[in-house]
Amino acid sequence: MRASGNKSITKQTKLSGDIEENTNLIQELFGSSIDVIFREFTFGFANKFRAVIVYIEGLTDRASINSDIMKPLMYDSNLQDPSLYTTDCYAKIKTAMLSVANVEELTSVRKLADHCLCGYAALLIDGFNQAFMINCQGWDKRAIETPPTESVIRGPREGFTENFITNISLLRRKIKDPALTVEAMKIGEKTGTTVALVYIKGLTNVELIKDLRKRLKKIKTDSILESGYIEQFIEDSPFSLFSTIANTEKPDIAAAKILEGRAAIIVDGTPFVLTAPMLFIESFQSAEDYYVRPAFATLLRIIRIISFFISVLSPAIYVALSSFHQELIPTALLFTVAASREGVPFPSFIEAAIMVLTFEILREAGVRLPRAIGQAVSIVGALVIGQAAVSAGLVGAPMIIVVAITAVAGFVVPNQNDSGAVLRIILLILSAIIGLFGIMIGLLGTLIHLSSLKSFHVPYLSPLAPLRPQGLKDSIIRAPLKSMFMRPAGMANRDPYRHKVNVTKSSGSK
Amino acid sequence: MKKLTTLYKIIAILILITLLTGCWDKREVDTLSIAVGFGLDIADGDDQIEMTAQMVKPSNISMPEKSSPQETCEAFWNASTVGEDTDKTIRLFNNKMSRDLYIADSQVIVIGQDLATRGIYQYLDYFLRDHESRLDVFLTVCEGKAKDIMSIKPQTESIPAMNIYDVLENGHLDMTSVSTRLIDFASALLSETTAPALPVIKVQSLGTQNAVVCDGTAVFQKDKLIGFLSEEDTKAYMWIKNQVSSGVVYVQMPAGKADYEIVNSKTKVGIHCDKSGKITVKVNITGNGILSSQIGTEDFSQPPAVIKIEKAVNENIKNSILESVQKTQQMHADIFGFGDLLNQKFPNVYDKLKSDWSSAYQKITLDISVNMKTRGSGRMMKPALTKKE
Repeated sequence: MRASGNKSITKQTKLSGDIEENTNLIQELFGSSIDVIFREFTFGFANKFRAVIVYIEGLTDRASINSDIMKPLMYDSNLQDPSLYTTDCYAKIKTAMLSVANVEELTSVRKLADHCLCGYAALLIDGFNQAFMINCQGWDKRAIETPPTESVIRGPREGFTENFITNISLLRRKIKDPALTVEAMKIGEKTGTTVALVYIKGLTNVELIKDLRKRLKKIKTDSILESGYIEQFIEDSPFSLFSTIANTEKPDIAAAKILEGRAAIIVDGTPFVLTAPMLFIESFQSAEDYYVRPAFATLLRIIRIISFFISVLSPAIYVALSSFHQELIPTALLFTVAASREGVPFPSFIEAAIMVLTFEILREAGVRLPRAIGQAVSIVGALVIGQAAVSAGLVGAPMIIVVAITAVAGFVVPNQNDSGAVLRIILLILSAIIGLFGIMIGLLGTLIHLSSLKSFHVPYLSPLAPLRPQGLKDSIIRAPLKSMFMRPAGMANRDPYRHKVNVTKSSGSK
Repeated sequence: MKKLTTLYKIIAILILITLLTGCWDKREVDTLSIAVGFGLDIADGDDQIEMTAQMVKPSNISMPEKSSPQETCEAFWNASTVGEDTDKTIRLFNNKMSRDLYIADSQVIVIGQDLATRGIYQYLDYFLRDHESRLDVFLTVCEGKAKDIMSIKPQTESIPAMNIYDVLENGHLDMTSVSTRLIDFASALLSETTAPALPVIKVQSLGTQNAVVCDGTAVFQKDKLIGFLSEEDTKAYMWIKNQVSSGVVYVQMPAGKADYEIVNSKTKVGIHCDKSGKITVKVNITGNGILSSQIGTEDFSQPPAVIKIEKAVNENIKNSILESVQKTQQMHADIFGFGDLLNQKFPNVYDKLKSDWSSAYQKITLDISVNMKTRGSGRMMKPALTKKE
């Protein structure tokens, strides 16, 4: 069935009425991959129609092809009537015979191939210059399970999966509003990844949606493998330490963010859904905060903020105090620190740098080790190594404590792990050069940078700076849900109220 | 790309600054020799002093006691040098030792009695000026040589200087000694009429062990030691200065003896000068107390008994203050700061009198009113054994 001649297949190449020619075109496009199947068959009265189904093994549900495409065509008696062999019988095939839920008609060969790669089966019928694209997607996918990176004590345990439709369905289950819009586009020349922009029409700012759409359409690359790629292409400050687009694996978090006026970006092939814009304070908020009691949630928030500062500042402050400002250490503590530094061959800064580096190495290794050994080389293992280092006289015991606290505190705020690690090292170097003054310079620089950072035209440090009193109800404290009646400022400008505010009348009336 | 060139510029500037400054002012903790206490004594030779510096051996502090007690397990060591004044002596220390002296953590400065009579300000000026020393070190005068007191190993603490610090602080709370920091001494010297007062410490045998105790006050004229006050007189000082927070007053009554514990008190001091130039100091003390121990027949659940004891306590306090002030008047030492009080209220009179304050001070009369209220009598009302004398 090979035709002679090499025709290069462009976007404009269309199917012809000749089934052999069409088949050859498609075969040329796909090359000699073994998983592209061409099934020829005949159907109709006296087997008048010749047809070919093109599908990709592994992407399609073979049972669906068998029972929904081939069976009705081959066994159905409708087309046994010869009088139906007229020009519109092809339409009848689509409307009356194919018992599948989703059928399109295509003429472009390129588009046909794209659809096949998404799990569609192409039905080519001799004499007909269009192909029916039948959706019978079915492949092995991960079941919905608890996301490993975000586990909660109270709250739903579903997590997004790699399947695009499943993710959208999870969001739809949370927001049963017909205004929830899913705008899909394909980004990436070679990967053709489906990327969807999800928002609530009438709630989200129109400028934000336009901006996101524009930025997404501007992406010209050959591969989008993960939402992180999209993040780096559309974000405001690619060189900043702090990310301005949030990601989450849990549908309830994504739904809550959409309801606050943000937009979500779902990328096919990854369970991490992006939400934009992002505020700095979001890294300290977790889904659980809203499901537990306000006092407890406030306590947790404060602990998280303190932990972040501890994790970033501890090594730097230890080095600054013990090398430059011994007067600031209380006398009894000074003796302990002095005792621990006796006999240690390195100056304070080298000691700190070695320990921080060792911790990062251990953490990185722990992620990649096989599960059996992974547990052994955990924090406990690190502490044992630290203890051995102290006994050998290489580092001092307070240094081990400082690094252990830094490590553990760093995991309390997992969203800022990457920025925290770099900031820690920068502050450590600054403190080793000019002591507390260096730490102050570093912190001031970070503050200036954070204040000037904007995430899709919303200031990054809002609601703290610029001060939005209503927004403060959900920052360091978590006010009861009844009193959080406004959405965050800067988002959802057209619908700023979550629920109606009750104007309390004095007792007696009503 | 405009943003990026700014970034490169900033990075370049930061690197240059780093290379210029280096690690300015960095010193490691193990290059310091932490001094916790100083002792000043007279040395042989004209105008020479012997300074004892007590330094900490940090690695021995948290070490548990070894089975064989050795000298080397001590957490401190004393070093003494002879020099002409503080600055020279400290530099002699720095020259002779392997590590420089770090004086920011010093807790006490002990001054030998002999040196105190010679005048001490010239030796303390260094500590007042140096930016690293703290102005709240405790000053104290000791009986005998400071070097010896600082070698006495305390039973509960590991470092003698910290022990002396605790002894002084505790004594102040128990009304047995005043508490004078370096800054208080300096401000007393700045005033033209006030006489500084320092606590006195000495070695006393408490049973089988020697211990450092504080015992009374040393009174100075400018910076020379002129006399001592006993513990009783120190109490009056604390009453007038409103530093009494706890303490016991022992009263004797016709029906028995009682100990009255003071819970809190407040003193107000006012000064009056009438037309003839007579100066009166009004002291008004109010406070609360409880009965802490008693022997006799009084039953303190009845108001008459309570009134009796309050009267006795008030009398007792009043008399003790009067006696102490008279003693200081004989010594010509205005340790209470009445001169400064006069300066605040009547500066004209003060200007006339300040040149000869010691004689003017003798003529001051006191008008004391004490009003202590009893809050309770502890757990019992009547004593378990009413002893009829």
